[in-house]
Amino acid sequence: MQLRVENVSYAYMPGGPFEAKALQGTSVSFASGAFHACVGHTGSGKSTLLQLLNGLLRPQEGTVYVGDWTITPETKQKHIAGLRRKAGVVFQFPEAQLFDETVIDDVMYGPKNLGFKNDEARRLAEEALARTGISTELFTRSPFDLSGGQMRRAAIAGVLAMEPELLLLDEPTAGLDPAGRESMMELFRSWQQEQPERTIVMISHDMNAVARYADTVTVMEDGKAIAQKAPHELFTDAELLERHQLEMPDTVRLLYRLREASGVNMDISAFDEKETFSRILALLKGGVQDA
Amino acid sequence: MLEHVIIGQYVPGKSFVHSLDPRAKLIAVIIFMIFLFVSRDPLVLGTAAALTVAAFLSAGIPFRFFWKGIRVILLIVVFTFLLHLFMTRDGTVLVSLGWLTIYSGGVIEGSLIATRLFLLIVLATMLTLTTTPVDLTDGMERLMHPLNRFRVPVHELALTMSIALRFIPTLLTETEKILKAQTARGATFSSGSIWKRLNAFIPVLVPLFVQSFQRAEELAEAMEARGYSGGEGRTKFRQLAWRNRDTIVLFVFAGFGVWSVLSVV
Repeated sequence: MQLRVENVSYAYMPGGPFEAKALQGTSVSFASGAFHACVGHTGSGKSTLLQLLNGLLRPQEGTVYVGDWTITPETKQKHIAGLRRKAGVVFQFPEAQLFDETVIDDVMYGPKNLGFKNDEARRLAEEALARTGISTELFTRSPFDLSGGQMRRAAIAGVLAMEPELLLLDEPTAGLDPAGRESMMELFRSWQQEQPERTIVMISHDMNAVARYADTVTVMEDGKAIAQKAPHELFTDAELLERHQLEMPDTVRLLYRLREASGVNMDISAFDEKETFSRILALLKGGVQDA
Repeated sequence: MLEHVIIGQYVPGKSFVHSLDPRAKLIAVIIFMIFLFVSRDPLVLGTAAALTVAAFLSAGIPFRFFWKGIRVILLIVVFTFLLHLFMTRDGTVLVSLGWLTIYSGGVIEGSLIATRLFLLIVLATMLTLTTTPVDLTDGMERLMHPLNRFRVPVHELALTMSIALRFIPTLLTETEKILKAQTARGATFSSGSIWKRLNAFIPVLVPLFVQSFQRAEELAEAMEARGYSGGEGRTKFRQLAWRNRDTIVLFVFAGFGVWSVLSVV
């Protein structure tokens, strides 16, 4: 699903003493069929941008284009109800949305709201739960009896069961252990690559995950999208990262330090262990020859 | 709409009203509350209105912000007005449309009650808008201190109050978050029969309750971890200071009280 935001501004509690400008005339676009990441400091407007992309918020100025929908300040809620069907949102700590008596009923809530019949909704829910790795015997348990990680997975299943085309993720791995983070990111990537039109926009502070999984990275600062680059472009630009106080992924930082220390000009864009090892091996071999 | 509710919110400032001792403000509001309902004299009501306007103006709260926040509460005022308008059977008949009859007494009674309620709401809101929750409970605790002798758990009551006040905004943001999450899952809260609409709120209320209980437990644990142990022998970091201006304000409000009684006698 193609996404475009044009000159969009949004402020919370406009006109009051607590007015908070979240977006200030920003423009950015996200291509269909890709995994996009959005990084930036707290208060840079990332979450607001995400909520504009599924019509939960309407822009106060400017226009948002999501697939076939056009959202302006005048757009009626009714008009964008169909968009909800196509755009799933996983909010920060999504386990807070669980409410039903059993896990399966909770996951069926979304599909049923979309008008699916009971057995069809059940099929979608079972599929989504299997995909997120919730075993069958947990289906009839109360969602509040699950562990923290399982609750997160069940909540994400609740969004995936609605078969969205666009998935909006707000720090989906916050508070998970490293293994949990990795399997969750793998889950999102495989979901996205299954169908050509599936698109993900993810907010994250985890640069390791962003570097490994995203196709493009958008940098937000003070309510504006100030850069959109491929991970290997962004994360090897030490000066740019420094200027916007963004962290390097661990692998890049390691190679960067090695390059600084050795003085050997080498490619530092490696985002997984294997690539990093091969770069270090190449450096060592080169180093031996020099001596 | 929820983000505009201003009950329990504090707006920082350095105005005259902000600088008053919370005890003075509390007593003033209590006097106001009691004696506002004593007199029916328009002059007394006018004075009450003048006091309220003065408090509002000197507090320096932006009007638009205040108006947006109080709009929802005004529904109650309007409702009360209508109730009295239709239910009072006093005085001469003004309008008679079939089963609907409006008496002059209803108009008078309705506007009287509505005005009193409105003034009271505005002044009480001024109190919470210009006093930090901490100051407010400190003040309350000091005022209720004598009740300790009758084994009233004053400190615990004050603490409960302050925690409740403190968490109103938190609850509102949380409600909004869950509303959004369920809307994103296709929930609709504004269509269908009343029964359907009420049912639509179950997915919002259940998580809200669960989280509130979790938070209560966390808060209790955090307090215990810091060695919190009730009011006995507890000293205060923040001391309340009674100044001349507090006495003056109290005299003004006490004067209002005396006058409203005199106007009845």
